[in-house]
Amino acid sequence: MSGVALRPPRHQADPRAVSWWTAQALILAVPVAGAAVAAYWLFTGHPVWLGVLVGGFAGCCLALAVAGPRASYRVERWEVTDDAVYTRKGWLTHTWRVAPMSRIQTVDTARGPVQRLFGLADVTVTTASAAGPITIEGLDHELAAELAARLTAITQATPGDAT
Amino acid sequence: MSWRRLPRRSLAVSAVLSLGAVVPVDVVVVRVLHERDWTWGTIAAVAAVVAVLIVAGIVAYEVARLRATRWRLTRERLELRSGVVSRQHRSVPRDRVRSVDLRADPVRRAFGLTVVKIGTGGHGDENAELTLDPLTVSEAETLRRVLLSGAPADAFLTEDPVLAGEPSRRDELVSATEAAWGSAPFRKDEAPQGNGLPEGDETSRRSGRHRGNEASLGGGRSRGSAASRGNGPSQEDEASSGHGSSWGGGPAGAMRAVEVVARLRWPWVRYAPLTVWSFAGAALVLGVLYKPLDALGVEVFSAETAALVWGWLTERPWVTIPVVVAGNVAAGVTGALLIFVESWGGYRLEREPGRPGAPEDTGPDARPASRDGRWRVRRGLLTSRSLTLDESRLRGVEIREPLLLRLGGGARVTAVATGLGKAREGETEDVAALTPPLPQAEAVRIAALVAGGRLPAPVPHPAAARRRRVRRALIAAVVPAVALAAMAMWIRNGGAEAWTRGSGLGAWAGGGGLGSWAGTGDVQAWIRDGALEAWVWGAVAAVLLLVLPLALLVAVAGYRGLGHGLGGRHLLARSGAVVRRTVALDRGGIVGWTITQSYVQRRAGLLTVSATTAAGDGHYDVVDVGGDTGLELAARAVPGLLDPFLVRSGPGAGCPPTSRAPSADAAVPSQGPRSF
Repeated sequence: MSGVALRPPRHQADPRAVSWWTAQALILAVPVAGAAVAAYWLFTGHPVWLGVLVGGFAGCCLALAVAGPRASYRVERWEVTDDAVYTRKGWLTHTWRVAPMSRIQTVDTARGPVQRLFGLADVTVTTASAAGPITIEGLDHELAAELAARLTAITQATPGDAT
Repeated sequence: MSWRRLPRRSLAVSAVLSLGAVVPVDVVVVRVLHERDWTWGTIAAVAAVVAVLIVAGIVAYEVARLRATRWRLTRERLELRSGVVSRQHRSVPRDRVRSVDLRADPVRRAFGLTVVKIGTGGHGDENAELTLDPLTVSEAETLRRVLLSGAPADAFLTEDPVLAGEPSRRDELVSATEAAWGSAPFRKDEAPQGNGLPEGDETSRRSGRHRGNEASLGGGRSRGSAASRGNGPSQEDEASSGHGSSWGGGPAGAMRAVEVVARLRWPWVRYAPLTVWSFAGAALVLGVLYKPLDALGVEVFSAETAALVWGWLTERPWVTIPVVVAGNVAAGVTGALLIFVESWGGYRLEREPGRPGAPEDTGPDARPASRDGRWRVRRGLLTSRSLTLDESRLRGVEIREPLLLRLGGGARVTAVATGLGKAREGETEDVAALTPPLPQAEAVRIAALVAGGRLPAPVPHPAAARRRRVRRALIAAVVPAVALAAMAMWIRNGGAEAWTRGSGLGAWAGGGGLGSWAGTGDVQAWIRDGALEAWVWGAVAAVLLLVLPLALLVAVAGYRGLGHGLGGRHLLARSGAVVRRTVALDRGGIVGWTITQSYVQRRAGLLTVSATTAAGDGHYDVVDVGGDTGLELAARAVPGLLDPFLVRSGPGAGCPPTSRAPSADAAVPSQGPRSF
């Protein structure tokens, strides 16, 4: 039986993306875990079972914030050829996306405040579809700019309104 | 062309329509004043003054709006200046126009006016549409034809063209240069719409009837006589080419017939009640009537009426409940029938041929290779609606079979097109609807005609997809059943009793709310009797006897609904347990792939291939297809796009991918991928 499979795209995000994603996750996870612990400490009579529950919850939050970005880094990959943009995402649900160069409408780079600290940028590629744009996250910002410039050049050379 | 104004008749329309605002206001005025014991004479005077003020206000606004609005069509663009308060100037390139929508409610129809909406693509944003409210029917018709004609830009004169030739000798599809703006010589045609010609003859019919409809709609401006009604097709062709100034000029300029693909057959009305709305009939009626009744001072949803209804229901349930159910269904069915008649009366689906000179073949299943025609849906008994779609903007066609309709053997067809907006408020039909509910075979026939080729037969999906659905149904039914059974056991073992006595969670909840409610003697007695336990066991039985079979049926129906196929031009994707949707998507319209595989799918060897497109929903999914099949399908549907990213193993490895005839604009060169 002949099998067909999608090969993983060639490139990964910049290694700094792991720290960025971790920082981002911690910004969310630390207050949540802290609030849970504080509520337990201040508003309850410290029953042991609740303490275990709250502790477990806080631990899970922090563990996810640390482990999640590492898992994402291993899974998220991207590749740009002369003909197409190809990305892979997702840990439980794998998602591969392909957009042909001839159908790309806009190419954007974006840098959030935290992202800037790490010298990273996202590249967003939009096609005419309402299914949503393709985003390549956590690239070195110079690489991202270069990639966006190249994509724009190729896209502009393609005639038609890409629908 | 110079700037044009909207017709002044629009003032009369808004005067009439403003009466719609006058009536409720006057009703309230009369009620309030009557309660204060004013005399009827004074009340009438006040009501009249109020009515005059409202009408005058609305008409004054309309005057300002008409003064502020100008539009013109140039070689390249359609321009609109509008806005009473903030001035706007909008300009749409003509090659961006994707659909033209004409809509005339009964009042506008009576005045020979129609609202024109010009769709330009884009997803639902305000600027996707340009509205000319209103134009005269003849102006609208000419605009519609010129905008979507695919005529070269220089075929359009920038100045108002002069009337040429005798109007009675004109063909309907005279070129834009000939059609005089505003006074377009639409001939009043004697042939009434739908004069009972056999269906098969439609293709050879000239467009005279088509115009006849316009004339009877618009009336006002039509002039000339129907002297030459007896014209055979050849004569009319001759007539139009004789004028010589058509787009192509010369014989190539001869117009082809408008081809009527489908027209309403009244037996189709039997499909109208096959919607869920038929079961929500009375509720719907109440919902619609609520506001006017409220204004009249009738409180529908008050405690008294509720008590009244409840008392009436409980008094003799075996009589009243069937009566209520039957009344509800009767109201729903009547409503559905009325809506069908209003929406689809006079329905016709037509294809207007494209630019002359392009090869044309009007055989029943051989669609010409050129896709420069227009599709036009016309319908509406009271409010007439016409949607014209540029064929080149069509990306496919969808056959929709909601559960009830499917059980009744019906289906409906919608277009997958770019530049179509969402359904408008107060509109009962999808914008993209091409047909009313009609027999399945008819739906397939029309879909194939619109798609421009035979639709591929759907291939069923692997058994793993069925197992997945059945497992999901079992989980959905068995988990609640087990949870309920566990609860029943807990109650039997005295857990509930102990809990209500205020231990554990009850105390933790602070003794208020639920805890105190459950702690009352009545509830405890109720629990001790075993009445609660009996109820819970009853729920378990209901889940197992009702929900489980239903869920399994839906699962099996969902699996049966799965299918995919690849034709010369189309990718076919079918799915849906409740609403089965069969989409034939033009392979040239696919702008990318999204392939997803969840954890469960990965273990079952399935994946979901989603073709993204600029039209319709934005993506159309082949759900739960076998892994290899799905990837091969995507690779073949758009040759060269996915291939560089596939690895093939086993006996077939190393062979070049099988790619079938590429569609027109999907010819992506498949060079080796260059890494970046």
